[in-house]
Amino acid sequence: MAIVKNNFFEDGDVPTAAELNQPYDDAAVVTATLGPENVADNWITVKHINAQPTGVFNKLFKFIYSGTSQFSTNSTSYVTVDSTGANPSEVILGYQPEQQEIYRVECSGLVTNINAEQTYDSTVIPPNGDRNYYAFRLLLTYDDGAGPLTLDLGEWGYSFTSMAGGTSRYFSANNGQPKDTGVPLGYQTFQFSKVFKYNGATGTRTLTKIELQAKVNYNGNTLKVSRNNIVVVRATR
Amino acid sequence: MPYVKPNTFADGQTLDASDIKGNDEALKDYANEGINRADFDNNLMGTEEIQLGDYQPITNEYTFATGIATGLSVGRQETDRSYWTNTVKKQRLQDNTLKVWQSNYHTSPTLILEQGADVLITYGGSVPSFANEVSATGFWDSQIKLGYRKNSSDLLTFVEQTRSYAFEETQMTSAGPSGAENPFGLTGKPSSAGDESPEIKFGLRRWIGWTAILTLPAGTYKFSYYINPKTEEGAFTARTFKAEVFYN
Repeated sequence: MAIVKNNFFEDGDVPTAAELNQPYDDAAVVTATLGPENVADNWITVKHINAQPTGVFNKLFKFIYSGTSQFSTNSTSYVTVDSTGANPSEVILGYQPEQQEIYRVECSGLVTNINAEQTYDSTVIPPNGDRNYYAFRLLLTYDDGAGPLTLDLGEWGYSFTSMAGGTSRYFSANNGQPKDTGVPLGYQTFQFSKVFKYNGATGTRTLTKIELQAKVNYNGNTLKVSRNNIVVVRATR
Repeated sequence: MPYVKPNTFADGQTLDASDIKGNDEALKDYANEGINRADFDNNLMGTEEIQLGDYQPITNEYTFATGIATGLSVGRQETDRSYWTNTVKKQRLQDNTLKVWQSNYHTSPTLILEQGADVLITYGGSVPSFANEVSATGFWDSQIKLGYRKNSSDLLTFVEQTRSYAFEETQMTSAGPSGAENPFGLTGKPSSAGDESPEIKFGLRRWIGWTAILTLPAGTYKFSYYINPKTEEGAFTARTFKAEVFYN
């Protein structure tokens, strides 16, 4: 609403109907379009924000598995974590971002009783190599109109044991008995995050889902994961 | 609905005071709680219209119209530890049934949610165990979890998404630690394998990090990170701790 002005009259003036009507007519017109000049700064508080539908300012998408069942893998290529076998660790997004829109992904979980047979930590291959490692990644699936595509949002690596370096040190075949290798790093947490910005045109890409995936560097070692979660914070305008 | 003028003036008409008063009264009523959402143009409000954040320096908490942010970050956590001990249990110090949850005061914000919200909490810190003078037998899997009370009278609710353990165990036999492996070695004391033994050093000091996402209704929540300690002396702190509230 623009500023509504009033007419001033001197003693003896005879106001016209137009002059008398004008401030009220102006008020009727402009109150249909109230704007920043009609309100005080800082007036919008949490009480003024409509909670329905949810997610007016921020939209959060989440996957939570809090149980004790374990996902187990000895795959050397990435597979989606699925601790119960019927509940893959993925966040369903299903929205089209605006250009320059930012989203944040946070992920964490608990590695449980890993099984490490060989934990060489060497660039000498074969036969040793860097077998002490496993890794997670967050994989985004999206669609630009021609079918699903994927984008690797990031990879994060961890070690099976606390050993450092060496071509002759290894983890005992009798799992649980470290042999010159430090200690196995089981029952430990993992946690990572990523901020991503979409630079394409508004409304042309559909973000489908983000999955938590894992792999090991050597298929004789087994990674196990129980509780894990993924959170995506979409900053909307 | 915008303002509607009840009376229209016409040239030559005798001016009636009640007509002017009627128009003024209607305008007053409109200005006093007669303005509704439809009267505002779309996309006209700027961020300056949204209430400024309210900063509380003692608790390092910033309250905004759309949420709350609080937390801490320290470079040297050794200088500010929150110690625990299992000796407050008096007996059955490593028992899995008798739990005494002790909190980390670095991670204890009280969040007042004025409406339903998603609450995102992240933690990172190391959790060392220092000593056990008595070589006791029992379980050693000091478990750590985020917990909260809604309103002061409610019982503690634990967040299983944050379930963590305070030491490395060498027996990898089940989904949860067996808890039967004494992290201090065969005699149960730190010196049994030498304090500089790699196994001891790694066994007693570990980094723990997690993210928790909670969807909570309006109310007052007291959070903290809790441990059920099974060693006589240990400590935790927060290298980083962050709580974010996103109002729905």
